[in-house]
Formats: sequence, C-alpha cells, structure tokens
Amino acid sequence: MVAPNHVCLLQKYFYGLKQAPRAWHKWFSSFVQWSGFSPSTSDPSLFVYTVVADITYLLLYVDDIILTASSTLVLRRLTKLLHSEFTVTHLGDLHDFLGISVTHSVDGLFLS
Amino acid sequence: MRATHSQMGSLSSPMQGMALLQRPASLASPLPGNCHATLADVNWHMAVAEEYKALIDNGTWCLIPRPPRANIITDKWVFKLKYHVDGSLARQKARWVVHGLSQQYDIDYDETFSPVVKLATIRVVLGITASRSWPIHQLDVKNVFLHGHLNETDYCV
Repeated sequence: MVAPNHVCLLQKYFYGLKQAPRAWHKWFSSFVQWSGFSPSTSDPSLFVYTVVADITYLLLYVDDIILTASSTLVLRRLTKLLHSEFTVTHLGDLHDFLGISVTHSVDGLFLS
Repeated sequence: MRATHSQMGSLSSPMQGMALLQRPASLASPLPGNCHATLADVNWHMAVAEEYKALIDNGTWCLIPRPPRANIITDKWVFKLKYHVDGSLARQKARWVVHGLSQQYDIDYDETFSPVVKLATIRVVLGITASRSWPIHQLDVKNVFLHGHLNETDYCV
C-alpha cells in the first residue's frame, strides 16, 4: 500500500451510511423546490408544480420517481430538468412502482 | 454513459455483448465472495470497474493522514445479479458500501429519519391521472447517494 497511515475522508453520502437516505431526500427536495415545485403538506414525498393551467405531480420513493402532468409538453420539460441535475434513467410509461404493476388501457390504469 | 453500454463497449463485438445480456440466469457467473475474487471473472471485474469509475468521477473521498482517535467505518463490496421480468439476466452489479453499524452516533452521524411516500398518496395520484387520462412516466435516479456533499466527518480505510 502506498500510504499505510492514511484514511479516506468521505465526501459523499455512501450506500450504507446511516444518514444517507435523509440527506438524499433533503437534496432532491431542495432541488425540485428551487425548480418551482412545492412539497405537499400531507406527504413530503409528493411535489406539486402548478404553472397557469398546467399541473404536475412528482412522487419520490428513494431513487424511483413517478411524474405525471396535465400536458405532455410540461411532462417533457420537467423530465429534461431532472436530467440536467441527476443521472436519470427514463423508463417510459409507468409500469411498475413499489410492487404495484400498472397496465395502461383505453379505460384507464389497471393496478395489480 | 449507460452501464450496459460501457459493459458492452469492452467486449470485442456488440453481438457478444448481447449474448451476455441474454444469458439465462443459470449461466450467470457465480457471486464472488470478495473483491479479489472478481479478478477471475471478466463480467464481475467490469462491474467493479464501473462502480469504481462512478465513485472516482463523483469525487467521493480524499486521502488524508489518519487523525488520532478517528472512528474508522468498515466497508465491503456487494455483488448482485439483476434479472429482467422474464427471468433472464439483466446485468451483474457491484456496489461499494460502508457498514452503517460501524458508525457511532454523534461522532459519525446525527439525524437519520427520512420520509417515505404513503401508499394512499400513490393511489390518489394514480386516480387523478387515470380519470383525466394524463401521461404518467417513471424515472430512476442512478447513484442517488453520491449527490450532495457529506456534512459530517466520516473516515474509511
């Protein structure tokens, strides 16, 4: 070993650190609030973005996000915004969230 | 760069990469017991290299002389096989983690509570979406905990 008496001073919240999930939620929350979202008073994992007649809901579960909006344009714009800050994988239409599988049909959504 | 792209990029041909991703689960390389064991298997070795690159690219630690009386947190590598819905192998994943149990309260961390989304909230949002036929998308953030800057002082070897 090159430096046997050295240690690593951690600069980031690692997987496994006790305070990591809290720090991530705080970081994400402040980013989306800076972007114009407001956290819901009844659930801090729900963020609402209202601009004129358009409304967007964002649900956060650790690293999984559900994003829904009254217009495709707004949805696309906000997805882009998330991409600008985080390394995000866009998984397309909602199909699976927290063990709920979602099937899209003409009548609406089927949850199972 | 996407994980799968970088894995496939190191293989000699894209077809070989596809073959790797479509291998049935039974043919996956066995889970290595420790980091040294990954050297023997090219797929695990690539997974480790990918995680290491993410850690380095994010400037996740700096090397300093060991302070006296510092509590040193222990760490380990976690290896996992990820599957597609149909049961085929999606990828071999390596993650470097620290042992939260080796952290001491007040020295290495203080508050840890983090809110979790309520099932009722999900139902309400899905209900609104369905009744108004809104588009609904799903996204996933990579390496979430590497965002933000650590406020507490934690050491690791």
